[in-house]
Amino acid sequence: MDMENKKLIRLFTAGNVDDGKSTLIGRLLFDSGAISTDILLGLSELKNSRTLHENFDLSYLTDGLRAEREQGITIDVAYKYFSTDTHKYIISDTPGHLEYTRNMFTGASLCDIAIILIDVKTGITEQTKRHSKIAALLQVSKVIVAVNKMDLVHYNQEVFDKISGEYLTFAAEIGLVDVSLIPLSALNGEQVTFVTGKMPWYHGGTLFEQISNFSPIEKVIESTNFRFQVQHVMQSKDSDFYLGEVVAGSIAVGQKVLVGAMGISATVEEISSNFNAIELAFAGMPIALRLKEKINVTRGSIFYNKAFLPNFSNKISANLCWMSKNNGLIDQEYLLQLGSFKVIACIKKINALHKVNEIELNEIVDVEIQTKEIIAFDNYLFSKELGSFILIDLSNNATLAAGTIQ
Amino acid sequence: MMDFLDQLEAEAIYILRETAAQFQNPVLLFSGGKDSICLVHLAKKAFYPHKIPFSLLHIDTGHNFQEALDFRDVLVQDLNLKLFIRYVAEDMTLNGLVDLDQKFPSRNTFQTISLLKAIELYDFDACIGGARRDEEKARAKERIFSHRNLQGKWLPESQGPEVWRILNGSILKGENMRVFPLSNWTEIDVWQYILRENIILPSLYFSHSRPCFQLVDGSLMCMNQFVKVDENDVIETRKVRYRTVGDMTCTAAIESDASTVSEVIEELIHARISERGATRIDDRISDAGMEDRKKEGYF
Repeated sequence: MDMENKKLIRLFTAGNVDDGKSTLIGRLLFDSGAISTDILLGLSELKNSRTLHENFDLSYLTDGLRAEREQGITIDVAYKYFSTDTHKYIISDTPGHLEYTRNMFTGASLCDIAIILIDVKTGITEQTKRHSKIAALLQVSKVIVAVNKMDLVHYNQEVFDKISGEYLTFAAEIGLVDVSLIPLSALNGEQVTFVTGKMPWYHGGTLFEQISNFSPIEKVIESTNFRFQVQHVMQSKDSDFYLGEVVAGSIAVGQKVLVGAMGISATVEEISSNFNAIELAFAGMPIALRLKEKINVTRGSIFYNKAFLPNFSNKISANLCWMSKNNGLIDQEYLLQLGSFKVIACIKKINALHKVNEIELNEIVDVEIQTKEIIAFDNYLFSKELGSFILIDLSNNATLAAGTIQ
Repeated sequence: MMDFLDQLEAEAIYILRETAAQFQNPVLLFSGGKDSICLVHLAKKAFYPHKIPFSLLHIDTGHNFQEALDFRDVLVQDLNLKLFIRYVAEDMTLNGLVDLDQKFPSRNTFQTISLLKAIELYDFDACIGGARRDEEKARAKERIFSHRNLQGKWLPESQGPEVWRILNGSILKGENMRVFPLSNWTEIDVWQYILRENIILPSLYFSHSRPCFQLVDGSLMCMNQFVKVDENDVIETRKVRYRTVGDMTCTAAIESDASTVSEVIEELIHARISERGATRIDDRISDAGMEDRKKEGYF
């Protein structure tokens, strides 16, 4: 097995209830050989009412909770894994029900690829649009729309073309860039991992091929766009070590950095990673960093290069997805967590067509947020790590909402 | 450039650092198995050049392999860490519980009692464990920061969102967070990491000779003082190794000639049986066995 430069890729499946998401993942895992014999035997013994006509209920692979199997629905995201020679894949099977949107968001937030299923018999639905909007909000690199159950329309091209046209128009409206559509049948595997010629009019390759051909865009690594956020401070007699990950760019020993919203200048004295002192660290690397000067650094502090400053403000414009049954209220105090930084914050304004004062469960809205102090942050387009945040309920610690900074 | 093992490692280190920063008194659950050994290695890396800023906790069922216990004691001494041990047998006596009269008397359910006792006694607010989502279907559903309520229970139907890499570690006094840095690792990822990092494991994981008898499903149970052997069991010495190291009463061995990490990886690439399926008798009790145990507070 060639492990050189084998990369991690995360993908999620979304779509309406009963569009066949779990079956599709089951099919991908099954055909890529990621399912063991004992698990398959378990499947043939246990079937739920959704798919009695199948030999194996492939959805059973991801519906891991008793309640899911009893009700025949996916409630929470399930994570599954498979590997090819070039990539290790993490698949999140996310729930289709509107009420479990928070779980869908959980599974989707870190993903490179979105697979959105559409039942060819029903076409584009509200949930298709909602999930596509979430993919757009999250800036997912690639969206593959799987038009499923083609067997039920006798693999008819016209039906597919109609859905395809409608979806592409909608995708352009919401700003999705890299979109492709595939007609397939998750149930029998057609166009998922193999082609038997039932749709000679389609030339886009199988779903598996489209996934395999995807490579994440490598971020440009320059010292100028350097970002580092302190997760933890290890104190010692002489000088402290700051533990964290290089979030963007690179950093070398001897370089000047600016720290926090105050922009205090300091020099990098030592970088340590992988049990060694190193000279240079890149984006993605966990490091321990020591500064020459003794300055005030706490958990959440951001280090950056003066050539490329983050934003500093106590006002943030964000896209917010509300994930709690307790409505989001204007002027209510919340705890905002941005990476490892925490600050008290309020929603000051909800931008909607008509004036609203509350945000309801599963709503996605533009908001203006005010923080209690001036903080450093990035635009989500530049940094997922420093351009995203959650809002936490101060009374019960629940995560209420997820936001991307505009 | 970072490959997938670097990426998995970075993710685990990120989680370990978040745990050290967000909790007052975290503890690492150590069993002497390969996953918890990898966790300790990752924790060493995460806090280097400082030492690991938390203790280890072992819930000792009394049914452990001696090799795993010896390995544990050497590791703790080498790293100069504090090890808490909670003995399941003592909690059983305190609660008037006795072993089930079974061929393979499992102490799984009793283990939960001891774990929750230890959490309460030492006031641990976070327990770091080596569980992986690929092990079992209920675990595939669990968050990285997995909340336990005041009774120590997991409520799978009301898990909060966990978005991007942001880990919300805020809990109320008396609640507990279970933390799983290896959530996204598979069995083979762990072995490839062991190979790359030169991590030493107990000898149980490699081929050795042992007197065993075969179970109905073909798996091999090795002779030990806790298993009840009857006249139908045919004892023979076989070359075996363990894919998982749990209790001697519920962990089966597999026939194997793999005596190095590379040979184990080669063997796993061709294995058609899942890790727990090949070795864990305790998972076969019911279809939702793991979920039910976890809801009660299990690892």
